[in-house]
Amino acid sequence: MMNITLIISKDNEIRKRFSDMLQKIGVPYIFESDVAHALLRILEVKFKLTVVDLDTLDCNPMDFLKIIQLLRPKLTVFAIIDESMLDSYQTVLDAGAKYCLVKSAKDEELTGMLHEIVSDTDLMTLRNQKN
Amino acid sequence: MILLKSTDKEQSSHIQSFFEQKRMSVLAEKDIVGSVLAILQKEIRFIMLDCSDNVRECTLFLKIIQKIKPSLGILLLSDFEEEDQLRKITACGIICRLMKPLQDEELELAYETMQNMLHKRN
Repeated sequence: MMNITLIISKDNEIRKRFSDMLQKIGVPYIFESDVAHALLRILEVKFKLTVVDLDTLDCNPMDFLKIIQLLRPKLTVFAIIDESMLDSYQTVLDAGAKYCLVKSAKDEELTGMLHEIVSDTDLMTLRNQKN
Repeated sequence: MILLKSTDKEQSSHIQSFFEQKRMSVLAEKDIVGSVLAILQKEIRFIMLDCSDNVRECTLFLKIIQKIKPSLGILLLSDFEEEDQLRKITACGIICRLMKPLQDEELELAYETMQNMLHKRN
């Protein structure tokens, strides 16, 4: 599994926020804006983490999450939702996202969470390698 | 089951009724995500892919299919003849190319191609 994060979003502000945060914790990243290119990337590269901005996807977001779950069940999905999608929070998690946060969350909260995810995945990878 | 990916409503309903008469079920999808989910969750054997309105999207879709289910038989539908446009769609697994608007004779040919492929597999 490669220590690269895939950021899927059409929103330049989200792209910048997440790339800055990932840079701070030393995690490389790449961007995709449309679902077709994103799916192809997911099939070609074994990412550890993908950040998906559900609000800007040009498809049914739950279907997209289900596809990721079916294709790459070990890939950690961090979903970003708009306040208007708060009612769908549980559905997002049920569809395969491991974490879900609203766009308005503070940068410190997001950075902390990302750091935790990346460290968690590192520990899991180490454990799997030992077994 | 056949997956039909097309945004052409008229052609889609013609194709659906033709294959339903042949007792083959057709699932119509308009976008890539719906189509990929169907391929992963249902027993799709063939894909009829209409690339008339977006060759670039079709090329991406074919690349995705090649990675997730390369054994699927793909029938390409288009309303253009230019070779350079068709050449952009470089994918294995294309068993038939059909020109729109599709008539029953062409659909009959598509049906026979599918049947031949099924017999070869069995």
